[in-house]
Amino acid sequence: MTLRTASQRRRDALDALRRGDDVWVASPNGDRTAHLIALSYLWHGTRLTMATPLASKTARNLMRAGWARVALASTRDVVIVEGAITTTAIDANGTLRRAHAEATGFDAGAEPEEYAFLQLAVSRMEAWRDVEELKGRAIMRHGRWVDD
Amino acid sequence: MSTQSTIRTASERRAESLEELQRGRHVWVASGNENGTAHLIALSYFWDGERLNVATRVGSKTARNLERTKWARMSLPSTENSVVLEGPVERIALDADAGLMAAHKAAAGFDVRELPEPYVFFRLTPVQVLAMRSPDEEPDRVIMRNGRWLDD
Repeated sequence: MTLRTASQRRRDALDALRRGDDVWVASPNGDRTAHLIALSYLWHGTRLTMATPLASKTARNLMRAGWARVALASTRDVVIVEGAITTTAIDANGTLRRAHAEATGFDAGAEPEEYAFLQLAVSRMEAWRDVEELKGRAIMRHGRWVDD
Repeated sequence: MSTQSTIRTASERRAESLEELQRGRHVWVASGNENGTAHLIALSYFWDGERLNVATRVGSKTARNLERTKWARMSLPSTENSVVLEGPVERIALDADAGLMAAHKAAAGFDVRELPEPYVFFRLTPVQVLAMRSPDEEPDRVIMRNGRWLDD
């Protein structure tokens, strides 16, 4: 397999983020173990928005930590995104609510439980397809693309 | 068609989850960082029928986290068809189990001894297993609790 450049990985990773439906979301439990769950998302270009019940383990963990690491579904074409989390009430932003519902197929404001939006501002991104690509996997660091 | 027909029984989920574990090569591994955030990485593995053995570089963030917390939550093969396993982990040095190295090579397609950096295994013994293919399956997603299959 040919190694991709940072610029190619960036294009591929952004394509994958636009195309994808769900991410694996790791969050820290209070006892220093980690929780892991799949959530659907909306991709805005620099932010990734997920909705989850306000009382869920993931919401509580991410609100406490203020930081999340999430991965697109494939372990063959790995795209991992990491960044600060801000919480937004579902009703606080009508545009966001509609965009999220359109992207994910469910309206978080119409659920029986109270939901919240968790918005991840991307500050680190990793992309690799096989062991050879592990070196150079960080394509964004501290909010800056390494090929800029 | 009734949506009921798409909901698998606990026995079906168990059988299919075990097939996925036997078939797969990589698993997502979540671990707790020392600073109170969480780490997440895909690792190759070998499923021995009861335990999931992942290989990682000695000193990697995942290795350090698992050594400290001795607990992990892992998932495969996809977000649409998810099998999530959680439980205690133990560290297995490469030279401690030659059979495991050979089994990992057969399952993952590479020999951890041939990598430029030293590797180590972590063995997860699941005490909780979840299996879910659709939101309809969410209410009964737990198929193992406290180390016991619910259909036993």
